Amino acid sequence: MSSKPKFQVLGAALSTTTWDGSPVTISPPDGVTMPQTTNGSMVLAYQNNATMNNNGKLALTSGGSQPIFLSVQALLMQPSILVQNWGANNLNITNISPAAATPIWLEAFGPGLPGQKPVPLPIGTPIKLSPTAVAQGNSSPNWMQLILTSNTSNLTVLSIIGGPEISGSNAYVIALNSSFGNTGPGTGNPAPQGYYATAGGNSYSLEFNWSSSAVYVANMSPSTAAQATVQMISL
Amino acid sequence: MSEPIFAYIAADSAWNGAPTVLGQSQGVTMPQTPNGSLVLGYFNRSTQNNAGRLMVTSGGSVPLPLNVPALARAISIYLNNWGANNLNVTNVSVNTDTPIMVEAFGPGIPGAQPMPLAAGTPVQLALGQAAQGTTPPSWILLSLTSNSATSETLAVIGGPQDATGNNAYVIGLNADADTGPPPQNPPPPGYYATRTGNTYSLQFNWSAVSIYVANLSSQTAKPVTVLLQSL
Repeated sequence: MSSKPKFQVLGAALSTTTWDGSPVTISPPDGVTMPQTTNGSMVLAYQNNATMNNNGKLALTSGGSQPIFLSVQALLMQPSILVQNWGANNLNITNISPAAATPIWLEAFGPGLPGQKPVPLPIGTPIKLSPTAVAQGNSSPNWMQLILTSNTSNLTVLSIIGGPEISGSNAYVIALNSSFGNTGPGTGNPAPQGYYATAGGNSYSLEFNWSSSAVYVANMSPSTAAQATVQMISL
Repeated sequence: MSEPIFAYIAADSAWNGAPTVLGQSQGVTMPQTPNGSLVLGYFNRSTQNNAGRLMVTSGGSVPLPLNVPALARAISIYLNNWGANNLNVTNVSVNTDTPIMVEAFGPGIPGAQPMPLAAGTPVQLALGQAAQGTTPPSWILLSLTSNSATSETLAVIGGPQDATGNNAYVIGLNADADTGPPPQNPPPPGYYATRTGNTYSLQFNWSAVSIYVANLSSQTAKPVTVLLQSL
């Protein structure tokens, strides 16, 4: 009689059915499922760990939504990120890369997610964040300034989560030393897709008044980037 | 009963890209190529004046013939992204005494073990040697220099793929014309750029990427110096 049919279902959780966002590496055709996402912005980071020149691909599904396909560049030593609010729905991520030797690292970043140990982000004292390190602190109920600085010309990418939702998002992805130059609010230039703002220079200042709110900062820079300096000031 | 189209004698049905010499009618099969650019190098090792020929197939594509010049003491190269499909390379030379060496070059491919390529430290590459390193996430200048007038060919792999799926750059030094991307004169087939001089600089900002450089020049060429500089 015929052999057992072989097929692959997008979003099928073949390796981890209760993914909590901790770092995990999946090879095709494995996937992970987060049973319930946060009901606010979450940063999904992914990186191609293939040693060969293998471009990769992920498929994302949530609820009954159409799959989203993410290309995962080969040989890139920088997390790619997708910031989204999946509204407490489930999230399935499947490695559908055509080449078998395409392991892809995944991690979900956001306040309270496992797998991360945020360092304290005090008011008034600058801290250093290495790539993939995170920090979290509480703002004062007044105007605040968050200063992001890199003392190099290295591309530096930081994700900030906190404050009220605006159009369903309360995350801000900001790049320093960006080849896009100065973009985002106040510059007259739209920010590239996925970013809130970019700076052609090595510093950016985010002013906000979110009352007393937890402020979460994750360094999503390339692995060879220098540390970023983050300072929260009460104005 | 009819003969098969190619009298195929598999020298290696699970070829991983390592250097292999194919006799007439012998072939190798790479079960799965990378899903990115791969350099196929080939070299006629016949001591006689026997022009050779390879036949390349992948999936159900039409066979691609590659002429392998006799007595040339330089690696011929064919650059392609086979998209993780299989790759068959068969020696279909007409003379029995036409051994052809084949080797695949690219990151993670066995054979040419890359030496470290660190920013700011020049590396000398002889024929068949490769170097690999991770760039800082900033503007980078990759300088390729030969302190001689010998013709040099280098393959650089890294960075994002273009619309055709290519992320490799083959560069010739001490060539017979200056060519390159527009508005320069178009390069010869298979090349990204050529220089009549002995140096070429590739400038890019690909964030932190693993970059791979292989020297695919001729046997009698001088080594090439590769320098990765963070700007």
